[in-house]
Amino acid sequence: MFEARLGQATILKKILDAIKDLLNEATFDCSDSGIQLQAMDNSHVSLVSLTLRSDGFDKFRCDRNLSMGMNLGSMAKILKCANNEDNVTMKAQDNADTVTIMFESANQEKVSDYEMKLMNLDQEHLGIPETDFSCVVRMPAMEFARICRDLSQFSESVVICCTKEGVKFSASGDVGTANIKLAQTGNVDKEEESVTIEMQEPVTLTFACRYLNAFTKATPLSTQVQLSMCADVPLVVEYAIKDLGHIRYYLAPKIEDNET
Amino acid sequence: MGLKKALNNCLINFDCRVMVTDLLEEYKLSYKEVNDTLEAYIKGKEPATRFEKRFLVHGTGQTNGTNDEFYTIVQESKLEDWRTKLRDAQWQLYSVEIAGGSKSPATVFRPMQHLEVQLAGVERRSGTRIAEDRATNGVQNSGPSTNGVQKAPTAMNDGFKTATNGFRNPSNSKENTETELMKTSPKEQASKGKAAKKGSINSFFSPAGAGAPAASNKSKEVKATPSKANTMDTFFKKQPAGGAAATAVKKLSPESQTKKSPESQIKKSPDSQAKKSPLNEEKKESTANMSIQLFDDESAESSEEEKELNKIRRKVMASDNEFDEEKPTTSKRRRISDSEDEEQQPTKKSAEEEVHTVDDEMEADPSNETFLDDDGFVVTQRKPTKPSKAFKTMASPVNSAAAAKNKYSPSHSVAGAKKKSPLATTKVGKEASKSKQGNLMSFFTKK
Repeated sequence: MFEARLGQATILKKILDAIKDLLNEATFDCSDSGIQLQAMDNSHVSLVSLTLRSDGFDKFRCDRNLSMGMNLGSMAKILKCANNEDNVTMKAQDNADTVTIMFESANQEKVSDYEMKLMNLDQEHLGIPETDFSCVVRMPAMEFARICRDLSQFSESVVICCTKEGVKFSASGDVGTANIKLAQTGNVDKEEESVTIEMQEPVTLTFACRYLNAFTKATPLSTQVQLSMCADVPLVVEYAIKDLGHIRYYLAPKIEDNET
Repeated sequence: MGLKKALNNCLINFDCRVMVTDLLEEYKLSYKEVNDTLEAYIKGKEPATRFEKRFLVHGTGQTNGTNDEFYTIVQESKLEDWRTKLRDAQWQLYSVEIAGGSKSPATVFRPMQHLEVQLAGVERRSGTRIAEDRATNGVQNSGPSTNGVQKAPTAMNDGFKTATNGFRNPSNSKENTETELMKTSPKEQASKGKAAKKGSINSFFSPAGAGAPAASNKSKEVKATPSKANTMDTFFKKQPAGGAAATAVKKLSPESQTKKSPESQIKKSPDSQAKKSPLNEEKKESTANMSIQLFDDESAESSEEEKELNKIRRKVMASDNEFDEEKPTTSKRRRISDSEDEEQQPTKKSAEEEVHTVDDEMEADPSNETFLDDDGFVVTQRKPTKPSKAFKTMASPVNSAAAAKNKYSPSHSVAGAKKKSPLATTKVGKEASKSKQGNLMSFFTKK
């Protein structure tokens, strides 16, 4: 038996919105430690890793490890039926082919439940090695989203260059070139507006704007985003979900084509 | 015609009030006969139709202590009251009408007119014409006054009449308006319907056309004419490319018009349309006449030798027209081709587009060969081939222009592809040359 209850449906809504553009279907792996999701997009360029700790739920029960393959579009449709303040409960029996998502209003006067069919999906769990990243940039998620949106108008790819001075986002296309440089903020009263860079060695990597823009769908989940870069290693874009877990996006960098 | 027969034939319209005095005058009958006939008729009709009868009541009554003689016309329902009121009361049937409606007095015994009106689908029971016909119908409206009845009842009767007349007028006016509407309805309704439809459409699509239907009609007409103009324009524009073929299909005289029409249409048409119209007229005329006219036109230009040849050809044409229609066309071709060789070679350039489609038919036309063989006009035999070759050679660039589009289209498409490809390659190529999207699978391994 699996049962997980969240105090606010809006969190689950945001999570779904953050991953449904990249993934059509995904498998939620439920265990006593929580819920984990790992899936690549169809082009195998990006990977989404979602972790929801069990202690972040109001109620969490998972008697057996359970993998629930879901159509994320369908799940998003169901979650749209919930009010933001509703309690949401996911229930599934062991070896069940359906999952029940129940919404309860704050005053318990309205209870609605939706049953969704589960899917058997071929899982390709990737072993993600722990990496010591050369640069780790923490910056406001909104700012990152804005930068990705702006630079995507110039080019399909963005060059992220992280140095001691700061981090520079560049794009060059037919229109021209765009450079956005963010310096590390000194003393910031508001932590969510700060830009911090932990750099061991400068890194310059090129990434596709399309995926970065897809990653920024998770901006509502967190005020800060963490960009972890290392040469010849996928970029990790991490949005922390407060008191619940995090969502990480992995994006393979564009590599120089030596053939041409 | 007797009253009974008239009643049986429904010639008396009881929709209006029928007065017994009128019947007395009309049918020259005694009151008893009329009364009995009417009563019998009413009894026969009574269950189905209800009649409202009025009676003339005569009696004596007391007013202010004196005995006065009363004559009054009362309804059947009030007859009993008056009988009790008056001493020695006598009553007689005065008028009859179908109950239940306020109708104008039935002074006209012209039921056929009424029937005609009914047949016409107009619900006019008694119009102004009927009222006018009352005087000329031989039936007196003021019958009561001539009936030996006192003035008081006549006055009342007049009161009734005036009342009914007064009531009738609006009804008539209504009826007239209805009839007018009925009459005008087919057009007006159509126009209204159109207007409504147009209004709705105009309200949705074009606010400028949301005005009167006439305006919309105008707009329609205006739209129609440009469309025609467009079609004509397109026709004339298309004609150089395929118009000759169309004319060839129409008249089976492709060569004549290929030579004639290209010259006159392409060369002369830009100058004036008056030169086009004769061409069109020529098209409408018979092929023989056409050929003669063509010969006449060109004979002025041709040399004397050609005139002689033309004479011979006309004879041949006349003989050919009797049993074959295509031969005049071929003769035209030959004639035109002759003139072309001698005079009109410069026109080829202008005519080449129209002709090249016809030339194929010219070459493929067997009538040319047979005719030429019989008469031995070698020169004419050349012409279909010559111009065709010439036109082919001349038209080939034009064809290449027309086919050019086909040729260009791929070339353009190639160019477009080239144009696109550089653009695409500028973006993609630069990036592709510089960088290439990596795959996560190369970084991570499956568990």
